[in-house]
Amino acid sequence: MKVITSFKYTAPEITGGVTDSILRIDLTQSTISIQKLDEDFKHKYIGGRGYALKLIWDDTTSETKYDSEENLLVMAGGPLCNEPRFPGTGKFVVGTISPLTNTFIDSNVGGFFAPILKACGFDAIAIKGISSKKIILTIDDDKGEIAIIEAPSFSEEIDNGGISYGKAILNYYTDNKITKHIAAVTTGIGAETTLFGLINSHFLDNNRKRLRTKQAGRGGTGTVMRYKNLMSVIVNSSKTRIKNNNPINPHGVKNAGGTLAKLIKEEDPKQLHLASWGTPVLVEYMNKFHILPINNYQYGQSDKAKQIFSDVFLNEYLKDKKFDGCYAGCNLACAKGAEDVTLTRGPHKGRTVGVDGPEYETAGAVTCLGIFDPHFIMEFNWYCDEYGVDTISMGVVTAFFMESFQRGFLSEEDIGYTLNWGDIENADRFIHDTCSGTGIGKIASQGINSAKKWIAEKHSTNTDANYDETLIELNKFAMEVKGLEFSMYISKESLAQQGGYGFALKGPQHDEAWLIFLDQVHNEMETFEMKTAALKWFPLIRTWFNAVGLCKLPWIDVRHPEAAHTENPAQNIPSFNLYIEYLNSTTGSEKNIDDILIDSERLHLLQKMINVRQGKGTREHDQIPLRAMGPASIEEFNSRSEYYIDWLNKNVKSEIPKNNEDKLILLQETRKELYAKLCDIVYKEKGYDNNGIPFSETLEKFQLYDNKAKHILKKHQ
Amino acid sequence: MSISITLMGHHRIIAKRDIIKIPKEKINSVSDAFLFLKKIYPEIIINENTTLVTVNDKISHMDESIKANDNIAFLPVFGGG
Repeated sequence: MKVITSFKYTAPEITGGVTDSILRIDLTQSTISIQKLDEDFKHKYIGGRGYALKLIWDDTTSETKYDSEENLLVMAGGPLCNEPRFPGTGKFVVGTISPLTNTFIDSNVGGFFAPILKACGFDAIAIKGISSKKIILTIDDDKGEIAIIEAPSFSEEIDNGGISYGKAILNYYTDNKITKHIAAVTTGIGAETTLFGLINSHFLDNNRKRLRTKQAGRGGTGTVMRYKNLMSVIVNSSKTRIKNNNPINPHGVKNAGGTLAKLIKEEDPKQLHLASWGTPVLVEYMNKFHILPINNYQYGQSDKAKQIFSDVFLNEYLKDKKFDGCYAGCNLACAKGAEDVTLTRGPHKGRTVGVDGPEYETAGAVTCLGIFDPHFIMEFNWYCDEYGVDTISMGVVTAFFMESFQRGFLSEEDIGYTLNWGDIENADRFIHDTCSGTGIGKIASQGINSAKKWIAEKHSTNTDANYDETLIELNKFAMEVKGLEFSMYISKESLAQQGGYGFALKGPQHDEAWLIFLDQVHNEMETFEMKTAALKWFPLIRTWFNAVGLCKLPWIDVRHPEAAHTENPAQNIPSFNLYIEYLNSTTGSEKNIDDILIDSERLHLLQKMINVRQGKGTREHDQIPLRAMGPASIEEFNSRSEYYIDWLNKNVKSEIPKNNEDKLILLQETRKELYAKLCDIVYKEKGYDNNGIPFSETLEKFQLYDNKAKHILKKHQ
Repeated sequence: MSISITLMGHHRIIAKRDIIKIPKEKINSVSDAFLFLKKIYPEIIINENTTLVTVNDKISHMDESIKANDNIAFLPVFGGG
């Protein structure tokens, strides 16, 4: 391998879950350095998402775009990642300025990468610059060396494949002796051709005897990586992982982890069965409550959905029923995989592959196209991972083009073929066109925010339609906010979830808040104040998980039986107390839940300020498409007319019109008013003005009112 | 006259069906339906503290009275991943 730069080092030690060291890489200058963190940085920004936020706040400006030299690609675990005695500690966050949103995105991903990175001595890597040639970065604790190396090339097919290149580069680096002590991240050609490229996190699964991958899917982090000409980052350390975090109180760690593992073992089989079925189990429940995003979020329920219930995958693809965790020690083990899946379409047709998935989101993305074919879901899963594109954005972009075609905004001539709901062959063709940047795929590859403008232009050029009026119509069903495509839940009937999506700082991704059930099904948030309280609490707690390097599923999807007797069962405080015990036992802190909320609110505000700086932080950018707050078309209204008429009778004081078209207009106007009212109340609760800008006092409270912040706020006064 | 219990997830797999119909005279409350289900399918484990009860797709509770043609479901609670 041709080494460009190398750096001999001794891995900084881990104490209390941290090394206080960040690896700094400059790909333009080909330099490697280690930044030592002071106590203030660590205590204020915690790790993971917090570190990514602070580094990007400091090192980028309002002019920074995803392809700017100064844009950072940060990969960071957190003080609580890398602990096999506690479930769900394999998570890390990738943070950067997103190609889709032009503001901060963080995408969380599982696997062995961050635990091994920590063993190599680093709490985070921060990569700036753009290499003039394709390179890989190796961080090798065993060799005591960090190196920037010209990326080996294997063949065009392998080099273009996110999964294939990962396998090839790890075999190359280890002389075909891959162990569980090594991990890598890669991306694929789809990250070059689209703005929603993902990052694959590779690790050896000894049960399956092959490399497996998890994905940092959202927001185009892979596109940033590919733009930097960074083909892979490899981390290697033979250090044993048990006790490697050097917790201050090892007994407390063991106690908290053992108790949580016991809870999962006892309760998951009585609840969601995630350990057996993985997240596709959600398809059945989302279908029951009209939450599946069918036909571009038009309809939440279909008789066909049973074709993709989780037992179908269990019987057809997950037959070997292996223990499928994404990191050691997690007995929720929900990262399902399938072997010997034969691809029936696309450039790799005829090939037999292992598929890591599907997750619920991937299955949901396919229902977005009106498709309920389990084999197509498996193929879609594999191809997106191999191309290196986000299954969610890919699905929602395809659905948007399908609806645009079917509503007459695009012609068969514009696309090259038809795009109808349920048409697997042409949907498949569209996906490959997008990932290869071919034909109409070149437009789709830019995401919905860009594509809708192109479609409006095309339509107004081809017909007598007015551009602005066309764009207004397209915006009704263009399912994106801030430039990021929606994740896989219909929010129409839950005002709280509309807020959960609209106020989400990165864009409409549910990892900030998932309140649909509490609101729509449990009806536990009847008042605005209750919705607001939830819209503050849940995003803060979820932020914390992303800052400390933990998976939130053992907390959020396995309910402690004692939670039923608490004030707010959905918060699952009896389980969360185990996480607090784990935190304090690892780091030596004495925090309680209020301290954690304060820590998280600081990070949330910092992210808000980055949004404001990047021009995505005002009320305008928290608005959601009409389809996300109610039926956008008469067909949608009529599909559930009885429900909507009942809703109008309960929620509208004025006389209800006689015909359904007028009822629809009244419903839409009412829903818009409710959302506007929600914005007012939530902003007030969060310490923002009515335009969504934080007050200076709010920032001062969290020691964030520095000169940069002052300068930004001045522009909005 | 009857009431029905919708079976979902692993309940559906254990019972090998997605709906059970029960004569109304046997069931007066959700709790009766719960006990009936446990009796005919003892392998179905339901913890009342971690189960969502719906009647006609609306959130309910064990003490709720049941009318003819009502549909009951016992669902896991979940928080959204």
